[in-house]
Amino acid sequence: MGQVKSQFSEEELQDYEDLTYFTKKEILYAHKKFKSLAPEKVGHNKNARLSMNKILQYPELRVNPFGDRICKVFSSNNGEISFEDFLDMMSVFSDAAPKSVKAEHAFRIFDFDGDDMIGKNDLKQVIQRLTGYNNALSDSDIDQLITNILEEADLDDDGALSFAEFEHIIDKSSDFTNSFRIRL
Amino acid sequence: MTRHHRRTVSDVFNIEVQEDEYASSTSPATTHPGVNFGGTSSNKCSPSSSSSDFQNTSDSNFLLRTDSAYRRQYHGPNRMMMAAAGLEDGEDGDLDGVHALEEDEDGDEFDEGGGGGGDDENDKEGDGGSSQFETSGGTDCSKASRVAVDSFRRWSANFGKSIKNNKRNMYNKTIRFMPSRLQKTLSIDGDLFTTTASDVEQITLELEQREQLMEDNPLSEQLRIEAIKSMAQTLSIKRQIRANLTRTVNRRSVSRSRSVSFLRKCRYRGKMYASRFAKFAKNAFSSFELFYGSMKQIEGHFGSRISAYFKFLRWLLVLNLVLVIFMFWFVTFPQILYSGMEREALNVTMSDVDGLSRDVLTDFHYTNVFTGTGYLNNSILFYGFYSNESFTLLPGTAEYSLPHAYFLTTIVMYVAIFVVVSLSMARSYKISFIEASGAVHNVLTHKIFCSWDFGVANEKAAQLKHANIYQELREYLAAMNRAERASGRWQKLRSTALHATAHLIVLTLIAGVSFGLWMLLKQFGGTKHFDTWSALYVSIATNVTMLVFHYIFQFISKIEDYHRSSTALNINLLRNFLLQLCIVGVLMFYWLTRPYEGCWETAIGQEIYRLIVIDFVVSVLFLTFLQGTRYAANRFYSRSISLPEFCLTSNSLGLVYNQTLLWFGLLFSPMLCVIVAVKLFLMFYVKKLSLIYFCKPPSKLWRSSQTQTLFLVLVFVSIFGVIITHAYIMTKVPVSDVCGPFRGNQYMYKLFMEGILKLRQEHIFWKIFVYVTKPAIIGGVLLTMGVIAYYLRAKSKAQIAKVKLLKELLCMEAKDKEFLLANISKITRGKEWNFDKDLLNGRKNSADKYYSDPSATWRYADSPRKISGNSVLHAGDEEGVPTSSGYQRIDEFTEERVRMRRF
Repeated sequence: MGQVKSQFSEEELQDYEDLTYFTKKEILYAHKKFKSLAPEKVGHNKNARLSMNKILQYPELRVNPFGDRICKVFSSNNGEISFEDFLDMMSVFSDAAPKSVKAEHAFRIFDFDGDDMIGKNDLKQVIQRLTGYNNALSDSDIDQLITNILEEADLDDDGALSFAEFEHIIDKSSDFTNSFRIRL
Repeated sequence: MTRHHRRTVSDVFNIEVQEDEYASSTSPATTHPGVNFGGTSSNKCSPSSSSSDFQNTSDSNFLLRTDSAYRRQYHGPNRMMMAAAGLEDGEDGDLDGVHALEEDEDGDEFDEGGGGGGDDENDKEGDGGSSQFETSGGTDCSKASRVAVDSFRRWSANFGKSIKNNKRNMYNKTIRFMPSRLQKTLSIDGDLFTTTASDVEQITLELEQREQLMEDNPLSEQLRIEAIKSMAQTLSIKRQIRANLTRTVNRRSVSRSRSVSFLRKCRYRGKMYASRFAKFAKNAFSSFELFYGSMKQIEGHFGSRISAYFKFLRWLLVLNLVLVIFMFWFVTFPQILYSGMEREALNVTMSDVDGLSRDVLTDFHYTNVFTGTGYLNNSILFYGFYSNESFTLLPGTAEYSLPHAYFLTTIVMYVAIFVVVSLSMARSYKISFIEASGAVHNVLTHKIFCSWDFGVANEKAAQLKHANIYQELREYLAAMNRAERASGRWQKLRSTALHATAHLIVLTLIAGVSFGLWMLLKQFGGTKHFDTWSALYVSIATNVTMLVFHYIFQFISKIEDYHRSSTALNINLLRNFLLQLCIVGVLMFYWLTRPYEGCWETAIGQEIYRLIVIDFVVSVLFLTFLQGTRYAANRFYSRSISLPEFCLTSNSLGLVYNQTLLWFGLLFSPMLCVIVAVKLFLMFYVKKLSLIYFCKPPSKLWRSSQTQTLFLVLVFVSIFGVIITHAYIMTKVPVSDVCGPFRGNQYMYKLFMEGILKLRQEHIFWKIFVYVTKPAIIGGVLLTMGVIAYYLRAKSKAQIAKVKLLKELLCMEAKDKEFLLANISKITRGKEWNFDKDLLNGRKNSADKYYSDPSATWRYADSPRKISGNSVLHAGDEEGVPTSSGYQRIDEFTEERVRMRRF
């Protein structure tokens, strides 16, 4: 613990504590985790940026079908993740983060084309990634699913889910906070 | 980029406004239902509307009438408009139309006559149509409708004024605190953050508007940090925003330097310290979250659903550890000290009775661990060992009365557990049922957006998860494509009969088991083999029975073939729980009624001890062994034997059973909580290892939060039952007079009562006690609780209704928007703007849950028009009505529409 601590000053820790949902201890622990992804790089420079491939070595992200999306959403520079980004990510995925924050990020993760709406193509991608590439549904099945999803959730009938609609769904789901969570 | 946010804001705004209108339109109409609108709009329709109002006064029609009255007040303005429009069209059907509205509340009848038809639709469309019809009425009508419009405006103005403040509040609440308002979402594709600086500026500006956050005191600083925390921004941006805000705050505070009153200062300081303490506590506790690594491992391998079981286990363990601390500290520890003192005294006075004391303390034998007899018979484990004396541990200090300590600690612990359990149950219920329930259940969207478990960290588990989701979706599609499950009368009858038979069989089985157990107890319970293995007969029999019946019930529910798997699961759970309840009930009843020689409390404590120990052996060790063999068979012999599944139902029920036994036995055996805590601790690791090495994840997706709630409910039921039983035991069952802390009293509660009676009659505590135990007070408390429960339920129902209403409004809004957009694009292409039947048909075909008829605007477009919209503009101006933003908005809307029509 001691030598990890030396990488951060007290003010920095306080700063992180104020801006994320973590306590100081958890922040240090997160840094340990971050460091373990690329010990030599982070050892030299605590704020080193790791490439997306490196970050995807993190066990939860490696098996996550949306791993690359998560990296993109949280990265402050083109998919590369600095410690601050990592901390941000873990903070959103932590237990303490409220549902609304989680929903906001989930929306951006699912919004593949970045047009601020989860359109049909986004939904298609989501479904394909969820079922995995080994057992893909046929196109017509996916179309039917998308139609049904929109029928359920697209309240204003514009063929896509806006953030408000998405948040509405999430709000109704008691399981979302359970599933949208990564333990540090 | 900010498209969706903007639109959202305006959408929500509209809803708010209309909601207010609704609120305002409901209250006045109750006072003058038909008279105001009908009377002012036209002479023709006023009799028809008021006649149904006042003539149908017979009792049989009462319900219908209130319903229609409600609708009338609700749609008052619309209907009035329609009546006016009907007049204008000069059709004969308008009166019929109004009649149709009065009599045909369900609106199936579709009158083709302009006014009448509109009426019917309007009836369904609800309040949202009012703004449109206001226009239509105004534009199309001549004098009669003008009068109507005016009256409506005047009326709405009055109520608009009265709710003006309220509306502003609503507006502020909704708009300001909407997340999208705070966050300008950043682009997340490659070419990022060219706009970062301006974003920071914007967000800062937004936040600076909020006075609450910008005050120069610790509390608002806390709020500021919270607000910044909850933004969906990267850390660096958050940091900049914070710096900006701090700067502004400092600047402002210098310029204002408002003095804060003393009281306020105190409040701030109090809140500050509270939040600081909370942070400190969180810091302290987060460092030793129990089983952190194991939980992570389980979650990584099996997902959050299985880990819910382990969380439940952990929760119980923590509860029991608290119990251990209190029981040990207040009851057992003093007793140990006392018996130490006593022994010393004995040694000093008569050292030659050594042989005697050895006689009392029989030697330890390993069977004692299972039977709880012999050596353990007279140990701190059981009630009988505890002394009934008061003693001074340290010379010079006050006396420590062990009986009182025993009594009070137990009672306080029971009450505390009860409170904790009910609170967590209520919270869990609130989260998973009340907050999550709404008008519509989004089944599929949940499957899509909430099914991936982000905590999964294991390749194999991820593959399984993929396969599970795939399977779920396939099943969903199959269910969609399969024509409605043949729901003929026979089919229904068959399934009902099947379920009824199954229930009957299960109940018979449970009754049979209870009776069998009773017979067994009668047969073997009386025999005196308490220090040999035969004492275990009863406990082994009960445990094995429960295990076997678990499989039997599973089989039955498979035959039953429930439509929804969650129903099957819950029913199965309840059956198992009922069985447990019956078994435990029979045991308790037998124990309390059979004759004892010596210490019956200790005997019951021993029985429970045996049950708990045997339960550990059977359901933990033995089952794990079985799983291990199955795993070995799968591994080394043939693949056809599948890996065992981790059965959440039976495991969680096992925990509930365990806990029930502990709570029941706590009174008779204070140190039972230590045994159970150790048991749970071991159980955690055994279960974890067997799960990770032997089991495969469950094939069914499992809604964890609701099941979690169900388990808490079961725990609640059991603690409730235990408390009632104990109340009976304490007040009605005479204590044994040879052992235990309560010997010398007839009943347990007598001890406490005597303690109180010692107090002087006029002592304040005595008075309070007498006052509180008055039946009227207790009844009043119960009544209040009932009323509160009823109120909460009614409130949640009302909320659901409101959600439904808002959804409908939203739907209509969307339709009108779409219509207008389509027309804008048409006109810009230079085409004639007229009604497009194809589009309408297309919309009709698209799945629309709410309406099969076109929106209000469609009808508006469809209906013939004679005069231009000037009249409406005129009417709006001359009235000068717009008192609040909501009405202004409607007027703007009107103008816009009118402008469009002029093209």
